[in-house]
Amino acid sequence: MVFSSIIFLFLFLPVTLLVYFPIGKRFRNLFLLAASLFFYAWGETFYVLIMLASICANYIFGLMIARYGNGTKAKLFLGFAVTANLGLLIVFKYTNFLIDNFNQIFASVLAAPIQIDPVHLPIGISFFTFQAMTYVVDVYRKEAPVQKNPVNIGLYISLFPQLIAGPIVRYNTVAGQIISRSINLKDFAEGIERFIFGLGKKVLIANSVAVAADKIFAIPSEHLTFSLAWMGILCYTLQIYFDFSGYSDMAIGLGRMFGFTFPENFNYPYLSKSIREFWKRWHISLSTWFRDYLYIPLGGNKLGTVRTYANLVTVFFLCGLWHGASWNFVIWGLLHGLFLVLERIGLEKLLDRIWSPIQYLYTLLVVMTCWVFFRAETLPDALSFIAAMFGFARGDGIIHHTGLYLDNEIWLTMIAGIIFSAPIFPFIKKTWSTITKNQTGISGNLTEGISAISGISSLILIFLASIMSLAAGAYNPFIYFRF
Amino acid sequence: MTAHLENKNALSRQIILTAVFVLLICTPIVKTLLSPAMQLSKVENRKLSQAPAIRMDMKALKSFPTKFEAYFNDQFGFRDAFIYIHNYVNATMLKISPVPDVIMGKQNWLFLKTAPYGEEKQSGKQLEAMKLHLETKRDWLAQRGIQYVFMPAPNKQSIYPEYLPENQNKKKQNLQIDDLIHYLQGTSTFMILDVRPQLRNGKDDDFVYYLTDHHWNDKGAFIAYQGLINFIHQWFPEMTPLSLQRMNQYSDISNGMSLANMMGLSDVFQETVIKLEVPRPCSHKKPYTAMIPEWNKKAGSGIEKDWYRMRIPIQSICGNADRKAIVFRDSFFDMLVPFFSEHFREAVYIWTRFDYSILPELINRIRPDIVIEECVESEIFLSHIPGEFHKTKGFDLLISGDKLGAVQEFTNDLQINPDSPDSYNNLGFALLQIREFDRAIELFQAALKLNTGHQKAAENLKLAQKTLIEIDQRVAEINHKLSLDPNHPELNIQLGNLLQKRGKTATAIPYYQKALASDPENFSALNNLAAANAYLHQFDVAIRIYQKLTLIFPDQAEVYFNLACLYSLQNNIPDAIDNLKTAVRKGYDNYNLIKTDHDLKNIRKTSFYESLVKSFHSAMPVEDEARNRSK
Repeated sequence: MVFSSIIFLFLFLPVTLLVYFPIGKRFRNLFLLAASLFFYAWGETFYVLIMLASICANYIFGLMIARYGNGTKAKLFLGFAVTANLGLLIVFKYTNFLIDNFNQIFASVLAAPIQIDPVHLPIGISFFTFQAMTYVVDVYRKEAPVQKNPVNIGLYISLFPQLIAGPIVRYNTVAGQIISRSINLKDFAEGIERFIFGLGKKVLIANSVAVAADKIFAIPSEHLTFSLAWMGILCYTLQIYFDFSGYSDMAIGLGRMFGFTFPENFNYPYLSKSIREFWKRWHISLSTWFRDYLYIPLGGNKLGTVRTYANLVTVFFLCGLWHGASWNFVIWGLLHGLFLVLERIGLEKLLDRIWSPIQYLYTLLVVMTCWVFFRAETLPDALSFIAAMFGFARGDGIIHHTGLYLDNEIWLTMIAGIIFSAPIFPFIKKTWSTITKNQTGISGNLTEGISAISGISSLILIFLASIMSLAAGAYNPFIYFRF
Repeated sequence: MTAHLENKNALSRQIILTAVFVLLICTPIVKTLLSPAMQLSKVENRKLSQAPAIRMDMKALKSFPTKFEAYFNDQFGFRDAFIYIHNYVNATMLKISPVPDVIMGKQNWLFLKTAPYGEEKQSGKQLEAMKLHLETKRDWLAQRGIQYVFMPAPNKQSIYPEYLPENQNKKKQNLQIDDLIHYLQGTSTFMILDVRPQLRNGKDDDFVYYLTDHHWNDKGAFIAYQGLINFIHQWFPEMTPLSLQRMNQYSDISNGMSLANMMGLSDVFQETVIKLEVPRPCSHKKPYTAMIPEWNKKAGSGIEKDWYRMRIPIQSICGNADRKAIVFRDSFFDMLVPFFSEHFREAVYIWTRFDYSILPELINRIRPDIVIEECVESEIFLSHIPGEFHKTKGFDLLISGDKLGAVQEFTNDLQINPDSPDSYNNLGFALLQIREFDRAIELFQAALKLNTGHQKAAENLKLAQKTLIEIDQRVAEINHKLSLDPNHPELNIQLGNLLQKRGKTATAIPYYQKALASDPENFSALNNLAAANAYLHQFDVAIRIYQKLTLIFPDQAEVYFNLACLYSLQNNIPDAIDNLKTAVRKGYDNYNLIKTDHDLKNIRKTSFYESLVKSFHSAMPVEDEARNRSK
């Protein structure tokens, strides 16, 4: 089930809320676990059993690790746990990829290529296995207490708001909230606000630019023109940000409504002066996961320059691979790793000295070019798309030209997308509060009233517009469902 | 402002937001529960999904979420209101079409998206195929003394490109139809009826298409009708179109039509509609009941059933006129019917593309002077079944007796349609005609493998196997009898005939010769020997034998006919004509065979042949037994 669907908004969410609050604190976790499993099974049916298996295994691993404390046996169980979790991920996500590559490498030696049917990729498996791993590692590191109630572990791994597209919530972040959490009207209202913003980002902006991006990326490379390629990649750049950050906003908002505080996942990433900064603002829960559970255990930057660079490249190689079982994702990750190394070597110092708009432009250019690998179906497609972006377009612009894809809707959403990629709302809020701060008495009440009413009305408008768009069956697949 | 007041304001804001949100997400489900499920959506023109039943088997459980979601998406409360507002805002304020199939043009002109029209150039192969389709239809009808018109109805985009939004690719408009016209000009004598120039001229005076519909309006239809009658004037000089001035004309304000309706906004997009009526019309129309059982059969019980039921064949009658017509058409012809009907004693309008499978019976029933095929421009290339002309040619060749030619055509069709059981069955049937039993049986079996319920293939297979067994049994019997009396002329002839039937013509010849050795003037032996030689292309030998026969049996008309065929095949026209004359004089009366026999094709261009055909009293329609068997 996805959040931006009629069935979630008008059936699953109201029913879950209406049961959750009256049943009392004792049963809330059990109910939320049941609701989450139902939420998962709705889209994945019997694959919910894989998630249940993961819950059971990690529950036992946690108990075992806690039981043996610091000893070698604890280490052994941690090893088991990590291997089991990664094994699950490899089997369901990488089997076909590994076999394809094996067949290619050993093509001359093999009598016949190994053939297997495509393995179904259960939604969100990359997210929930990473979350499960943080639990066993945090217990081993004693950063969080072991959880003896299987319902609570089940809830941690399957909690529906962040189940299928993050944020990746670490066990030590929510361990306390799972056991006991309080919820008040302020949290709930803020949750609603956040959820509606996220829904609007996804439905009104991401879905709309996605249509143009899909069409342009489907054009045969010999028909691509310079302007089409740039329009395509701009649409995709907006799509992936509004899609994914919209989803994170909805997850965070829903979490708030049920009393959870999830970590932030995005912080206006397209306003970064370097790739290093970009990764502090983009998919923060993933980048910090890789930092804390891979980069630092590998030695981080403590083992000399060469080792640091090697660690960075390793981390980004795996980060790319995490996004999808295809060499295009690996190239995307490696390119980011490469720019991070270059920035460490001296590019960042060089950038620091120049006019800051150039720094923003540099980051955007690198990020957008890398997105081509992320979006294109094959490596040759990606390369010819990039060639078109940099002046080697082969299309004549007769059959396919930007005019075909630029209607009022695309114009509107592209402009809105560009504007809201910057922190416009926090800015308006801040400015408004400085204006109203000094007003007292009736005029103060009036401005406060106006701001409250306009705030609520715009939220309701965004919500209604999103519902209408969903009702009209607009384009709705989530990008991050591929991961 | 005090902190207390600020808190109070914040609190009321939180209460309002929460209340409105909870209300918004809860009311649709309450409404869904309270109101009964809707069956149909008028706006979307489709049946709405219904709640699935819960069953406890794995397969049902697995598909339950998808089915339930389809139901919920179709039935949730206030759905229609949400969609209406969405479409209204998009269409009127943002000028964006809310549905993918409709293009919002300038000044509220709506267009139907007709992909891939105007985007891809038709390849030469497709154009050649189209040409063959058209020529085959024309020739097939011409053989039956019927004229054929192919008339594409222009897309609205072709006539009003200036109202398309700027971002539409105007440069590529009309490629398909212009391509076809140019191709035909260079390679064929066939001319399609292109009414675009007249419509483009006509639009200066009035709109010729609806603003909110894909079709031409009465005015446009009238122009197309005039173009059509002027075109067929070449064959029927008595026909001239009615004049516009004579028509009753009035205008009316109408709700938006099909395209506006697709957006659910027919109340928003109104337009003024011009209506034309024939004053005191001679014609009246009614359902063509004779064809309705057949039509219902064609409709079947599948998803297309309703589509067919709504488009039953109609018939128009006008006592003042002489000619008769069959019209294969689509929705564009609707508006032409009142005008067109005025010129025909009887006209039948069938809502389908040119259909060979129903034509023979229709022709028998109506005996039309003309068949018109009208089809919207964007579909002229889509509507032909690939390989159809091979199939049609194959049937024609079978009827005319060119069985080998038919085998070749059906083989070509099978190459194009290797997955069609019909194609296997047709080739098998043709092979059966040339007595290739073993290959025919293989093909019928292949057809049945693709479709176990293929009735014709099953019948043909049974027939072929039965015939084969019978022949083999008889051969064994006669061989046994011949072992007792090897020179018995009748037995030898019978064995020869059986071997010919079995497709072993060469081995049959010695048995006829043996029969002739003991009975040199045996008619059957001589006649069949000649036929066997003709079959093996030993024309000189065959001619000698037939000549011998004319000396012994001077009054056998058929022998002269066979001689005529053989001379014709050798392109010896004078002797062919001579023998054909003699055959007719001696009482040969199979006029159909004279008209259609493939062997006589070389003499059909002669003036003698034309006068001969004119002398046949009735133009008898060809019995399409072969077609019916095979399809």
